[in-house]
This record gives sequence, structure tokens and C-alpha cells, in this order.
Amino acid sequence: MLLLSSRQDWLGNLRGDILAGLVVALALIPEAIAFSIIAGVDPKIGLYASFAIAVIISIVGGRPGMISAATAATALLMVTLVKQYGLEYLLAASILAGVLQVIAGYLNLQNLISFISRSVMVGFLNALAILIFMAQLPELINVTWHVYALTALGLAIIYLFPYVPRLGSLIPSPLVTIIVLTLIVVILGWDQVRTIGDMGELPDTLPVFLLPDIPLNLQTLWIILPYSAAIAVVGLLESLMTAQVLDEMTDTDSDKSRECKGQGIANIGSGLLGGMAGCAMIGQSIINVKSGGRGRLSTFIAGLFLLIMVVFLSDYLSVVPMAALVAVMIMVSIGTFNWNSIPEMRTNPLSATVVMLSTVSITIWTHNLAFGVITGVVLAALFMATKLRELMTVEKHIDEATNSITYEVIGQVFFNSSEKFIKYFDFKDAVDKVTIDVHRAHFWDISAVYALDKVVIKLRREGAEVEITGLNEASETLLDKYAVHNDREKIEKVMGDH
Amino acid sequence: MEALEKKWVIACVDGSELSQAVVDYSAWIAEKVKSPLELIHAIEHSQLLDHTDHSGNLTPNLRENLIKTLSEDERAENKRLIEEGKHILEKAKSSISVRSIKEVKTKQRHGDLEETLSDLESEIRVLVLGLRGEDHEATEEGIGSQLEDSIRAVHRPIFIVSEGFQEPESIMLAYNDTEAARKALDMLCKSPLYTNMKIHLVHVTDDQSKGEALLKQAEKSLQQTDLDFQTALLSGDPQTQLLAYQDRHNLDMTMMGAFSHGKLRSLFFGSFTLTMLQHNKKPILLIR
Repeated sequence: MLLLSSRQDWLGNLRGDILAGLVVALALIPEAIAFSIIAGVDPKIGLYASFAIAVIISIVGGRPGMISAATAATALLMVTLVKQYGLEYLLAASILAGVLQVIAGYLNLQNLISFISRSVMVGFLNALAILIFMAQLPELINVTWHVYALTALGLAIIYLFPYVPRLGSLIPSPLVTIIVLTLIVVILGWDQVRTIGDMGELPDTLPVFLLPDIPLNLQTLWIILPYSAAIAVVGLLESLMTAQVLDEMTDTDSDKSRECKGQGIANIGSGLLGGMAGCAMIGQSIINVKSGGRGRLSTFIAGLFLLIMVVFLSDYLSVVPMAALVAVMIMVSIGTFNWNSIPEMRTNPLSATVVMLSTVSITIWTHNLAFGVITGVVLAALFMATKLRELMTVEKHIDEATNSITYEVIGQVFFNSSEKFIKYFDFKDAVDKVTIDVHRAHFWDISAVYALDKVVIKLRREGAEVEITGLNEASETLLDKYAVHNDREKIEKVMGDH
Repeated sequence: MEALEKKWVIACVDGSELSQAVVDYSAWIAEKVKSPLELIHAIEHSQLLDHTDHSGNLTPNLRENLIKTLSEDERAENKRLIEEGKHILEKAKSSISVRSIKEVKTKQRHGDLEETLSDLESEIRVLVLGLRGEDHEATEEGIGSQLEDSIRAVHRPIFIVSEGFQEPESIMLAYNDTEAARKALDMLCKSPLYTNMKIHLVHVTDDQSKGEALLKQAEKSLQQTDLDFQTALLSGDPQTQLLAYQDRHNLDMTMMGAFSHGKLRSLFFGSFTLTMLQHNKKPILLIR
């Protein structure tokens, strides 16, 4: 049930959750604005989205303590849709993405995340970090020295303020950055510096419930569907990855299927309240844990407090210089990047590095994390199949007395190793009898069976009598009954001779 | 019966005052129903960091560093909890050594009570719990925060202890027209736990004729046994009537069906089961 949660989930960590929720709310504001700008919509769209998603997911989500809101990963997918068709289509696409995610939850597609190897995950995060950084570049090109000075100062405050005794771990340093930079710009009267107010409308009212104003026909569906599908996939990916990270950090379990449905409901709600689609945020969720947030209340407070602040502070928000936002986003980018992955490239197997780098480069090339992940998954599977091909050999025993040959097949025969399998046989040998002993081999698919057939036919054509032994054992694996393989006895039966 | 005798009476203990009563009642049940007894101590994670950091910034490799800090903090705490739990379990085990129970095991598991219990559900014959655990000892009246979730997680008979041990000699079965109540009656007739006990079958309804028919039906099953029983038909508010009846006849324990409604309904209308638990000084056996 999507609505059920225990009292412990909500009230088990009252003080920690409220404080962490406030910290996260403060950190969410600049991000929500920055991601709206990435998507090419008014800041209020991202702010409404962050409010709606955080509040809804706190109730229906499957991972207590995880923060979801408007995110860079989904915002990046919306850029062309907004440019070509405008905001209303974006809202519709958000709702459709939510519907797709709910369906995915009911189909238990969260289990597919096991196909995402660690290298793909690292690639995903690195690509995301690079894209967030690249999205800040327009704010840093063709600007006066003031902006560079402000950004540098901002970064210095973000990273150094936490070292200030007492205050450092009490007040979020990104907030200090925003306040200090805003004061500098206002006091010194630097009018040439761009501010958030220049980027579009900020919310001055509470969000209202509205259906997107679009023609409800097939043509609209075909316009938004590709965007919705990409948003749904990327949103679920980041959410499930974040949930895994949080499971690991807090040493607790989460309900992944409920999380998928919850993400969907949150996106539908966001679209209906005039917000864009979002997903879980890896950085903010970690900040939440670091600040002591564990329960559902932390996410709820984050969303609610965010809305209260932006509605009442929108006048002040509009004078915040973009440089402050850029500094915060550079921090997010640095924090998202997996820095260990660079030295790991030397120690990891080459295939892992290739998968990671391909995920990164395809994502950056297409600006679409979904394509990057698909590339990574396909490459990883291909590498795996290549490795498995090596696990097969055929030994040839010649018995001159009877003028017969025995081929002993050992290992995995499947689509990728079937050609290699055929090559082991010497059809030029003129013998009376050929025995193919396959009891220590596994025939995984029909390509393998077909290859064996081919060998038998060829040998017969050369005039040999062919006998195959141990076929029953070898073809056990052909049956697509993977479920029974959880049983130790069955596994040993199938994999026994290795 | 033989299959049942292989299943375990499971008692959940912690450092609270009620724990000794939980151990005593579970030992009494295990001895009478000839099942092995398992004493369980759930090691809960302390959810809070000692030093939370509200600096709200993302530093490079924050995730890796945070996991390291968290696991170091928790390691020491968990080690301490495991030691403490071992001590509690040892003490409990030795306190019931006089009873002739065929096997007594102790076990420690990580995770909260609800998780632990649903993992073990298939082995449970009867689960014995205290009304509140060590986190809630200060609250005189209240119910422990984990109790409802634990009860809902386990679909087995659950024996809830709220005061010190006193061997029950009489029992009240709060009977009504539900699946759980029929199950309870069936158990009452078959289980060796209730031999030699004085049984009161009580039904509260405002519909006299319907109530009589229901009781007649129930009496039939009881008459086939050699149990010593009597029935009563009351009218009015079930909760107050049942409690008053129990008081009047000085009955040592209550047996009733539990949580026939979903959690959502209870949220709005309150749960009969929970109010009964709250106002009863004697142990209650909940049948699910």
C-alpha cells in the first residue's frame, strides 16, 4: 500500500528530521532555480516541482529519508521540448512520465536495475556532474570580472565556512554564500551582474491545480512520449541508485517497487501543480543523511519549508546574483563526480573503464543520460559475453586402434562461442567413428544446439558414424526456467562439472 | 499437533521491566504446549549520528567518507548492544531453568522488531511480547511504538504481557462473528494450554437473538471437549462490557481476534484491539 507507513517512519527521529529538512530546503532552493534555468523555464516551475515532488514522495515513496525534487538529470531531457513546444507540453510530458513510472512500478521493473553495472553507475554520475558543470558555463562566458570574483568568493565560502568553529556545522555554507554574495552586489551596486530575477518569474503565490492546456490527441502524445519515456527511465534510474546508496548508508532496506510508483505519483502531482518532472537527488539525499535526517518527515519538511520560503522571500530571491547560484552548482557538480573513478581507471580491468567512459561520452554527446546508460549496459553485456566465450574448449582424443575420434566438449556453448565451437572439429579426418562427449558442456541457447547439429551433419557427410553422449546433462541449461536455479541442488546439477 | 510441537514459542526480550514477565509467560506456554522456546533479542540500529553536520555542502567523495564515519560510529554501538543483549538472554534463560521445556534457544538478530518477526514468522507457534519495550518504560499507560507494527507483521497467535507473571487459571474468550474469533475458539478446543482452565465465552451484542444463536453454535464445539466452560451474553459497548466482565469474574487472561480492519481504517476510527490492549492489566492472546 502506497499510503501506509509506520509512526517510526514519520516521527521516529523528530528533531533530526526537522533540522535536516530545513538544511535540505535551503540547499534545494538554488538547485531548483538552477535546474529550471537548465530546462529553459521560469524558476518558479522548478520550485513548484521541488515542493510538490518532495511532499508527495515523503508520503508515497519507498525509501524514507530520500530527497526527491526537480533534478538536473531530468531537466536536461526537457530542453528541446520546451524550446519547440513550450511549457504546457512540458507539464503534460511530466504527467505522462509519472504514469509510465507508476506502470513500471506495478510491472516490478525496478528489478532491471541489476543490469546496471557499477561502471555504468559511475559513468552516469560522472556524466551528470559534467553536464551540471557545463550548464553553468553560459553564466561564466562573456561576463565582466565581477562575476568571476563573486563565483570564486562563493566557492571559497562554501568549502571553507564549514571549518569555522561551531557556526560552521550549524549554518549551511551554501546559504552563507548566497547571503554574502547578494549583500556584496546590493551594497556595491553592481548592476551589471545578472541576478535570478533576470532569469524569469519567481513564485509569488502558492501553486494551483491545473490541467496542462494542450490538445488531447494522438499528435500531442507522439510529441511528448519520447521525452516522457526518457524522463521516466532516467528518473527511475537515479531514484533507484540513490535508494541503494541510502540503503547502504543507513544500513536499512527500502521498498523499490513502491519507490517507482511513488516517483510516478510525485511527477503526476508536480505536473498538475505547474511543476516539471524530477526524481531523487543523490547529493541532497546524502546531505540529508549527513545532517541527521532519516525519516519521511525530513523530506516532507524540506518540501514544505522550501515553498514557504520562496513564496515569502521571492522579492529577496530575485536580487540574488547568478554567480552565487553558479558557485553552488559547481559544488554540486564536484560533489556528484566520482573522483575515485579517475585513479581506479589504472587498476580496473580495461572493459570496466571502457564501459564507464562510453557511458560518460555518449551522455555528454547526446545530453541524454538514458542513451548513455543504454550504451553502457549493452557494452557491459557484450564484454560479459566475450569473457564467457573463453570458458569453452574441446579436447580431441584419437584412438588409432579402432580408427575413431572422441571430442570432449567442456564449458559454455552459446551464441557467442558457437562459431569457436565448430572450429575445434577437424572434418578432414577420415575416421570410422566420431564420439562427441558433451556431458561436461552446457548448451545455453538454440545457437549452441544449431552448432552441434551442424557439426554432426558435416561429420556424417564425411562418412563417419557420429554418436553424442551426455546430451541430457548438457541441455539442462536450455530450459528457460531460471527460477529453479535458486535451488542449490539444481544449480549444482546445471553447473556441476566446473 | 505434532507439526505444531515442532514450531517455536518465541519470546521477545529487551532490557525492560516487562521482559521477565515475558520470559515467565513464554516458559509457561512452552511447557504446557510442549513446544521448544526461543528467546529473541532484536538489536536495533540507533538511527542518530552523534555529531550531525548541518553545513549542507557537498565535498568530493562525500558519500564514501560518510559511509566510513557512519560505520565506525555504529560498530562500537552495535558491539555494546550485542554484549548487553547476550547478558539479558543468559539471565532470562537461567531464570526458567526449573521448567521442563524440551529445548530453549537464544538468538540475537539485527533490525527492528517488525523486520525480525516477519523474517521468523513461519517458525512461530506463539509469539510473546511485552506491551512496551525499554524505549517506552517511562510512559505508564502507553503502548510501545513497535507493538502495532509487530502485531500486524505476524499472522500467528500473539501473547501480550502487561504485568508480572501469574499462572492463568481462567480465561475470557471475547467472541464474535469473525474468522479470527472462530479460529480462536478452535484453538481453545484443541490446544493443551487451556486444559484445567476455567473458560468464559463472552459475546457482546445489542441483537439478543442473533447473539444467542452465535453462542449456541460456539457451545457445540466446546461441549465436544471436556473443558470447563460457561458463556455470557452482554449488551452495550463491547470494550467497557468486556473489561467489566473480566473484572467481575477476576479472569486471568483474555483471548480475542485482532485487527480485522486495515491500518487506514484504524487511523480514523481507532482500533478496538489497541484500546483493549491499552486498558487491560491482564495478558491478552491475540489471534490473527
